[in-house]
Amino acid sequence: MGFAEWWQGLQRRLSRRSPHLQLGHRNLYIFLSRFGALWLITAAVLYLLGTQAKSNTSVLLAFLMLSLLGLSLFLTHLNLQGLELEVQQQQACCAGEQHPYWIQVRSKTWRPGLRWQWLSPGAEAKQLHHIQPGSHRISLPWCAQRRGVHPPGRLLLCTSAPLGLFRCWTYWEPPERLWVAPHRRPGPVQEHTITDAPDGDLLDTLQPWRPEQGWQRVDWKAQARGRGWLSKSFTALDQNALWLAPAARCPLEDALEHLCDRLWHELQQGRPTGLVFPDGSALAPDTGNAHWQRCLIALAEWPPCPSA
Amino acid sequence: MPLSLRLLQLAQALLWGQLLVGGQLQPLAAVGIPTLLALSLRPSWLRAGGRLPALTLLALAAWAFTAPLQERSSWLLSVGNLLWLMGGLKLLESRDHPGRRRACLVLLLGIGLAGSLSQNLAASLVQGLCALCCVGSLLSLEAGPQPLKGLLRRCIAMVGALLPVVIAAFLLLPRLPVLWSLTGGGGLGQSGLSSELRPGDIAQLVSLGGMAARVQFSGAPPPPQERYWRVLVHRRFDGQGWSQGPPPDLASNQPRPLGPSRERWLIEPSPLPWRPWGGNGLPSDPGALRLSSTGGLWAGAPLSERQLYSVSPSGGNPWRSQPPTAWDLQLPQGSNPKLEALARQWRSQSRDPAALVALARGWYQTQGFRYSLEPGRLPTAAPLDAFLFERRLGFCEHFASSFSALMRAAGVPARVVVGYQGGAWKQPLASEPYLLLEQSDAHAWSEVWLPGMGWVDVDPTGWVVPERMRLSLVASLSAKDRQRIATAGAPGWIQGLASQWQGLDTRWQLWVMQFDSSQQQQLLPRWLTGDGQGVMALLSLALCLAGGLVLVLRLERADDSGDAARQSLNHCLRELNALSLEPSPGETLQQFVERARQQEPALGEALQRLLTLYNMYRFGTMAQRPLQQELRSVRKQLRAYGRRGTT
Repeated sequence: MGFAEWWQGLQRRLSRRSPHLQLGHRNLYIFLSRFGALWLITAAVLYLLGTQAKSNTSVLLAFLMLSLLGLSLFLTHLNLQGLELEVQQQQACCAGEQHPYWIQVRSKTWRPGLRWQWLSPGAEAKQLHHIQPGSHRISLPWCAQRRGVHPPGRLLLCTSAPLGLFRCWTYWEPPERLWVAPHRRPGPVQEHTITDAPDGDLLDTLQPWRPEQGWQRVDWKAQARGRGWLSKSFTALDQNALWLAPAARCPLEDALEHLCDRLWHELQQGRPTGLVFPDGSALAPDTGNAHWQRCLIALAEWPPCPSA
Repeated sequence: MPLSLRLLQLAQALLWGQLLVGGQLQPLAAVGIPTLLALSLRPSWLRAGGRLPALTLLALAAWAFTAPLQERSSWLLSVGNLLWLMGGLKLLESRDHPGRRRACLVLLLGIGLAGSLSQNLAASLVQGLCALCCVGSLLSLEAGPQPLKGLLRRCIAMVGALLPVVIAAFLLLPRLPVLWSLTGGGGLGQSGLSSELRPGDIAQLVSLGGMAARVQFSGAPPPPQERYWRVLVHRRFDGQGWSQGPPPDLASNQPRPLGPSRERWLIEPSPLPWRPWGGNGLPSDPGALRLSSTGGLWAGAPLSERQLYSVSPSGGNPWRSQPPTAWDLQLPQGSNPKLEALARQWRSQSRDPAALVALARGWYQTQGFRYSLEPGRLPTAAPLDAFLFERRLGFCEHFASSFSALMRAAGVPARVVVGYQGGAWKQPLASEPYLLLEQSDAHAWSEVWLPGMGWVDVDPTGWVVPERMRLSLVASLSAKDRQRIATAGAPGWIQGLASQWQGLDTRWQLWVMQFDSSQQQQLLPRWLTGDGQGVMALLSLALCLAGGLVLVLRLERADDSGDAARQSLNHCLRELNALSLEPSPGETLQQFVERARQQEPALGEALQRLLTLYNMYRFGTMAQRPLQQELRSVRKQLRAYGRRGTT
């Protein structure tokens, strides 16, 4: 086992997987930083210089540096201790794009120099110069290269404030997963307008079924396919609405990428757009961010897993 | 430009100024560091096209070329100059956080080195300020942009809180023994004394300004007419001038001093291997200083930095009874014929050494001799004859050397002593009284061997100008000569301030800079076996530390954001936090207050007051101070409610 594997294993063991995390002695780790080691060496050199050249200025400076090192140990740890992290509802996104992963941070004190980074190759770090006391919603840049439903991975939160002599850190694995739609890439898609729209059954929008909606609204076909209890909602036909489906001759993943890109462009222009999947399931044409999110989730999940 | 970089530049500039004033900068660093600081205002120009590596190489080459040319520099000073120069280059090169941190470390090393070269109070204060700037820069690097005031507060609190730890470590932690000697290299200073005495060669006495030594006495100081501080003894006379003669004869087993120290000397760097003292007693540390048979304190090497030593009483002064040797009568025959003739004449009148001295005194007092700092050159042939019988104008060296030569010619063993005479008695507020010896107090006098009495001090200058002994050199000078002494022209209030500052500096030197392992070893038993002073001191340090740490924690976790009104509001919100009432993201203050009132109806009035007051300040005409007072009362109300709730 190489060092990198051993290190990743250690990180895995040290990380906490929970929607809420309060930082304390059990999940915070601290060690001398590289600068701290240089600081220590400099203090030792100054002490040697002071004792050998009989210079008490150098000795005093060395002692000041060493005591600052000692104080930093506590202050750096205190900078993270007591901080509360809570995962937030996440929005779906497209593969290959920077996307904000939202977390809620609660602090009773002012905390300087916090650095956040996902432990995945190529992930960008986010530096917060300080956070104020109170509750804050923080977005962390997150990116996935493949579509699907992904856990966000391990988050490293570290600080070296106030002086950069120690590095205190924690690992957190938020459980809130992210829906990642295909990468947006221009290409051919199948289009249907209202005149050649599929039959009415396809115009249904499926939503979670509630008992007060009655049995007649249950989508029995979906239930039979193992997709759970869904209800059919009917929307009025829009003359401008556009139906998009994956291009038939493309490989599926490529076709979904083209579909995602086209969908994004149409919704950007405010045109009601719906999706039709090869298995006949569909999302009715609509506009707005909520519809875009529903489409992304559908694109991320398709084809739906029977066991889901 | 980021605050962290500006603070590092300030530290560099301060250090450069201190080194320049202290005379430790070689020309390359003296010019190079400010140039680099000026260039750092436009760092992009240097970083382009590999100009920075070229500049670094150029600086290294220039240093390697010029360092050996500095005659008075030690290798430590040369290395220091290189380090300070490299510190400037590193500052110029650093673009990111790690770079600035490393620049900060180089600067701290430079400060430590500067501290080993100049240890006076002013230099130490500037060095401390530089170190504070470095810490401030590091704080700013981590916490990002923030108000300078808050940063300084945090920085001072952090360093201040640690001072008790630093003091305790300084007093109690054992020091490494000196494994290899690093000479300070701050130059050997200048002394009003020289290793040779050639009065004929000196047309004009250059009066050096500056301090020579400070002396504290355990009892009353000696009266002004007895303040003779001997350094060198000249025994060899070549007809024109005096020199030391044979190598110093050091007692192999020096007797132990009796009792505690009587004189405590703090002396400035000097090129001479001899140390000044009063001539009575023995050095308290015989390992560091040895008493020679001629009454000199032999240190073995020139002094490159301030030194502290003590003189303790002894049973007698054995060096005064050391019988004279042939060296003390040595006189080149015919070198000064008139002088020899006068001595023969005296000798024909009396053979008693004491009577011969009295004859000489009478002669000097009646021949119209005058004291002057500009006596002009004497001829190389028979210079003392020219002085005694033609010019009759000179200063202490002329009088001492001519008198000693006369005594030798008359058959009385004699020698010339060089040292200091007089000194100003200072009683500053911040320090114990001390005698200040300046370089201009340098003096020469004679010693003659009187049977039954041993070596006796005789000062022929005092016969000619008694004011020189009673008052000071300045008082005995003509108006023209008086202008040549630097201290004479300063207004009284400046002299007063300078005196107080010197007092502080003396205390700094005695308490801090000269504190070494031997004093540490004396301190610990005194603290452990004393009347509880040590315990009290340690307790005080611990209390200071605890207080300082609390302050640091408060400042480190304090909310520096927003104005005072916002901070007052935050304090109130924190009290509500204890009741699990916390503003949600995006919630306005009004919405939050309404929600809180629903949850805690008893707090309705206080919450409404909070909202009204804050809005009145933000959108009305309410001043900040009344708002803070009002919000403080709201906060108390909320806290009281919270406590009732929890109990």
